[in-house]
Amino acid sequence: MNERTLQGALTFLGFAISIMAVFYFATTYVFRPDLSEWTRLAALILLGLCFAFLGVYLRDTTLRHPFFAGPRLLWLRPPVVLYLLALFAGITAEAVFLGMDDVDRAVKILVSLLVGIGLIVVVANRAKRPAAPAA
Amino acid sequence: MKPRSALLAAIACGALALLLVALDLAFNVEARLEAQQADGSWATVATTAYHDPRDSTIVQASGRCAQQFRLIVHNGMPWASRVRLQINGFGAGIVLPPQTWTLAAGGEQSFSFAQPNVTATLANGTQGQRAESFVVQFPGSDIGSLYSPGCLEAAFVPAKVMP
Repeated sequence: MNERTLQGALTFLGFAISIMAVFYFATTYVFRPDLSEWTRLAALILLGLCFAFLGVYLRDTTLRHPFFAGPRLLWLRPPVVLYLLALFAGITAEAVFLGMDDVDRAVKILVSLLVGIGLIVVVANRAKRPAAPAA
Repeated sequence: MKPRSALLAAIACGALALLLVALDLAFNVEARLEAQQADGSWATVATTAYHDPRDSTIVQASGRCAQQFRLIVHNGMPWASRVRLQINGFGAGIVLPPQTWTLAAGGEQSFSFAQPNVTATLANGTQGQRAESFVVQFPGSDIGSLYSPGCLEAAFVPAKVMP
């Protein structure tokens, strides 16, 4: 096992253990039935933001490289893993929000549409346009 | 965004999430139902300590069914201490929409039964209906109810909820 593979495997193990701890925390505490729905929603949103910010942080460090060598696993990089976790937390938060009894259905639909479309518009505006082909 | 700022933001978000969950669990919402005695004093007839839905208390005051009740919510974080009190009313073959109040910590809701066992006077002035049951629902719990044909029973139903 060369040095690069060993480093990638150990980093991957560290990520796996951390992610399992986060899932254990979520199933043990965040989804306890006596926890308020608002607290659950806020915790999931904050956890999602936490993952996203960690991904942004790791993007500029030495951990931005893929865990393993090989063309098929090039996409599997620490920042991508964290972005996927943030995505999962966001979708779960939306599911919790839609299941809340305290909020009117119309309000839930309106807020969900505003947040969803708002995200798309913001990302579209911030993304860099590809350079126009030279005439 | 600078990496250092991103790291600080991640730590702040994670810590805040943990803090919110810890606060909510540490200050779990509690509530108690009180009935007015014949001498005017209030006696607790049910609290969140009743884990078993079957563990109910017949509300009586000096040999007659109590008429005045109040639900008091205490403890709990401001955003997390909502308790729903529901009174189900049934008329002669007509099922009425349940009367529901949602209370936060420090909140208090009184309700009365003008003629015990027969007629309920609900908070919105509806009269002539029979109170079959009343239910206290905590966030995330299933609605349950108890009914006593002889006298009103009171019970909390947070069996799934309270640790």
